[in-house]
Amino acid sequence: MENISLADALQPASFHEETDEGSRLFLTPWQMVARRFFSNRMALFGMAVLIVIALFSFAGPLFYAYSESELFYIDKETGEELRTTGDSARLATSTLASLQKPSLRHILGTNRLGQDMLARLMYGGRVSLLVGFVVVFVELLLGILLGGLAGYYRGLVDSVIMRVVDIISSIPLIPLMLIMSSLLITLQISTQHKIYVTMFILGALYWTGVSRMVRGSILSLREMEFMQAADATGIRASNKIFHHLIPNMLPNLIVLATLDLGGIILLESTLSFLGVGVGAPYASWGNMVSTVNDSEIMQHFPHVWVAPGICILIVVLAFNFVGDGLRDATDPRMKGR
Amino acid sequence: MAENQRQQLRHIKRFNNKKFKELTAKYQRRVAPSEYETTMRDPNNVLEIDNLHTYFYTDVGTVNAVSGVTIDIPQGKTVGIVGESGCGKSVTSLSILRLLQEPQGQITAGQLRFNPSSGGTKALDLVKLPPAKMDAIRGGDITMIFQEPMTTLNPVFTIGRQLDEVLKYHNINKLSSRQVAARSVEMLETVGIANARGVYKMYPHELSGGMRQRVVIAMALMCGPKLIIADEPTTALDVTIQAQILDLMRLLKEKISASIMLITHDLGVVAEIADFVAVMYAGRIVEQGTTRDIFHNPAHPYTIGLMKSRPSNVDGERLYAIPGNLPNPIGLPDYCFFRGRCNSAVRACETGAVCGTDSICGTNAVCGTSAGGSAGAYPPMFALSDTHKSACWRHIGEGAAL
Amino acid sequence: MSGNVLEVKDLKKYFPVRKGMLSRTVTYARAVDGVSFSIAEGQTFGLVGESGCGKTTVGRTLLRLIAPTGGQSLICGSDVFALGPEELRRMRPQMQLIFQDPYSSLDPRMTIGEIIGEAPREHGIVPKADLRAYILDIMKRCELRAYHFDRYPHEFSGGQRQRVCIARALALRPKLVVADEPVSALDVSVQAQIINLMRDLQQERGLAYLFISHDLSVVEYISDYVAVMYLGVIVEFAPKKEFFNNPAHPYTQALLSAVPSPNPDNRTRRIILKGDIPSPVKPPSGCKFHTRCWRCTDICKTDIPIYEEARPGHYVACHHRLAV
Repeated sequence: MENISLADALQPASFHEETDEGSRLFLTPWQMVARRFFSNRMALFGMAVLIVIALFSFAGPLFYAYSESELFYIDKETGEELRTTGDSARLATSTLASLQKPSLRHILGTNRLGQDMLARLMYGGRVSLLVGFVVVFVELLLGILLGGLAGYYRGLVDSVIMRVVDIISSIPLIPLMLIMSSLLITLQISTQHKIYVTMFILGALYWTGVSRMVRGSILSLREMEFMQAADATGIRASNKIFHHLIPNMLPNLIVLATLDLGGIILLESTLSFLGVGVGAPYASWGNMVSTVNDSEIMQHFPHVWVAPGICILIVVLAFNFVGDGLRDATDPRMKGR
Repeated sequence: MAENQRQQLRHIKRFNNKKFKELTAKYQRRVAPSEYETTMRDPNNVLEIDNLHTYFYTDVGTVNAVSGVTIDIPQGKTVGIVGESGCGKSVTSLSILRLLQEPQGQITAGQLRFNPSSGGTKALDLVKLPPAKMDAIRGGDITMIFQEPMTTLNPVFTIGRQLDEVLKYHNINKLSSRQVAARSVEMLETVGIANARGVYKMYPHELSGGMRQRVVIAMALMCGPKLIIADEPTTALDVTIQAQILDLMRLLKEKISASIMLITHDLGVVAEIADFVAVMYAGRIVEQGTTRDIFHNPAHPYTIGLMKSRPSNVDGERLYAIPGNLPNPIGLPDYCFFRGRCNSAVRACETGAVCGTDSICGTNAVCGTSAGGSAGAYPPMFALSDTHKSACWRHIGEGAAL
Repeated sequence: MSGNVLEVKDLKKYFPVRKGMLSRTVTYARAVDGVSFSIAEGQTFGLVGESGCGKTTVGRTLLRLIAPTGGQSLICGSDVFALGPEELRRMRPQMQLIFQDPYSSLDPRMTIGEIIGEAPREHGIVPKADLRAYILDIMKRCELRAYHFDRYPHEFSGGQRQRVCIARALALRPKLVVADEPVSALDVSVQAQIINLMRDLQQERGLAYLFISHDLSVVEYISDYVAVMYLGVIVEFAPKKEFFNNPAHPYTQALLSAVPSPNPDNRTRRIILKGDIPSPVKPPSGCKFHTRCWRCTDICKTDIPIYEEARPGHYVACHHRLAV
């Protein structure tokens, strides 16, 4: 810190521009989305719940001894518990361990058929989550393809596809599923295959929502100047679609898929409850809840139907929280925290 | 992301949270009138902006949008704020109207003394004013004309309804509906719309850009405001329509007694209708004075550069372009941050000389800053005349620092 | 090839106005109604006008980004309107467009390097191995730094984004660049930088510019020839000096006087046109400008003025053109 004279101070000098632009903090668009998402407490809670349920359903059975349709018996004399794989002679003189209240042997008790509730809950979770993902996968496939064609080529293609969409969305779902169910029984499709057929049918009905969204996105994105710039620089159609349109549509698609997952799980539960979806002996949260129709169970044995109901509620809520969180995180106009 | 970047972001987040808590506590408790009632320094001013600091606490750091703006807006005069994008002029107007995006945008220091009655000395400090009182002032005593006439008007309501709404909300004189409508039509006529009654019933999409801007000006005049803030009112309009609107504003200036704070980047517009001009750069005022001062004797190198960059009157030779870019608004340094782009920088801009008897200042009176003020710091405003001030170290010998 | 990079002959673009339940075409908005001009190599042609005059439509139509309604557009001798879609796509590199809005003309999800490099890769302008070096070189020429390569558009200012747009156009080695209001959205000091850059590039590479703008001072600086459009037709055309010294059409005079001058002592009486710009759907009869013209007489309301040569090289369409 020196002192200089006035005349010296007014001598010309030059400074080159100091810029730290090179080391400035910058975030990619996906990083910005991630930051916004992870600062949303509800969304994080939802994700945590989903991870726990997924572990419970898929990893749980590996550590748990019982299986979903195993029957348990009680020896009349000794009061000991036996399993179906046990000594058949003793089984003959035993009764089914049905409607056992929660105890150390069966943490959530047993149902009327003598099956372990906790095991059924885990396997039921598998079914519900799987159905959700498969249906969403199918609906995304069909929806992106058809919605994309409609939005990109417009004209006659667009009109035809959209009319098909309108027709399909007008079909009442539950009567259709009841009809399909009877049909499947008549055709003597096995219960296991029935699940797959149900999944594909749900996907074939649900793609309409995705296609409308995709078509709308494409119509609005096309008009953006960067698409016109892609036209002006002579980019091929396929590159325009895959490098420009789809990455800009992804956020909306992800949000839609997440929210749909919750909706499909709820729908599957409803269908199984009505007896249309997953049937015995396979466990699904929906058909586990349907035991509530028996008034004796409803009044005196809540352990049979309350737990699966709560699971459905938690999972669907979690998907909704995550979906909402994603929507808020990807909306570029949302200001504030 | 590199680890130190992650750490930086974490620090910023923690710092921001701390700041939010601090500032919300400061400004959102019940405020006693003694806190926001003060006195004007000069009763002829309608607004005194005193050392305003507005910062934005973003995810990537603190943006110093406005750092130390001090300017007076006299009664009945037009003050033009000139600057380019990112200089903080729009943020200044939003700060005055307390329309900043919270919680990121905060006024962190300064006073905004507003004179609610003409000629009196009582003042209200807008920074500390409780929201309810601010609502009464916003739209009534201080109104704003925005840049985009296309989007400022609500497309689902008629023009008449939107005009009436302004007066009804601030209805201090308890006028009846019919009287309110009559005043709306009167305002439409004042702004030069020929078919005022017809336009009263129309929807915004039926009008052209120029007409819509006139309607917005009428809305701003409805309650007889003391201060009108016009944020780039002609930028979105065509040249001939811009000429019409400027003409209108010149006529209105003579009719009404309100002051106008005109924000623009167009030097020509400012020369047309402003009485006083302030030039802003990166959040500070670098030069201010009467229009004559600025245009005939521009003192600050940035102002000079702006004048020279205009393509008019240049023939064939290379256009003068101020080299370089705006500084990073995050963490602005404490020296004159224009010096890297300045073609008339001097040693004083860099040296860390201390003011004192044997040094640059000669005596403390010149520098005016407290003893120990350093010459390498951001230059204070030097008074080149009664009205003309410039914040540049080249003026050390010329005028007193403020 | 006559030596002209661009020749436009009687270009027309009408937009149908549909009304009614079956969307029947009721009438047409004549956005471009018979426009002809040409640009030689290394020259800049300035096209001036206000909103609704059709200048942006001219730019897009002659590049065939919008389907034309009539006329011819010859770029480097090829008839653009007669090409098949694949031939047209291959010809695109020669005729590039710089957009007005730097904020929406860049894909927000691609990095700068990808944006600039996408088209050269597609058209094989340089071998793949040299692509990155080529892009960095163009970026440097447009005054962008190397570390900008991996950044995303949202971090840049308007001026820098416009440089990216220019780099993107330049990377294809075009002969003709249509610049649609390239500096209108930028600040004055940044405008100066971009204009200097465009001029330097023109001198280095012999580019021909069609410079579309409403800002007369910028057009005056950068153009060799200037034309004024009003409601779809060119009303005056002249070499630059002649244009600004002797404007003949009343509209040109009004435009020139409407520009606010940065001289507080010069608040002269200027020509204020009455009324608004008419809609291109219902243009006025006779001379389209007569509704706002202070020299309007009866003949202006009925007869369309002929576009003819008033002085050598200076064309005007007006019944009462100002004495030169």
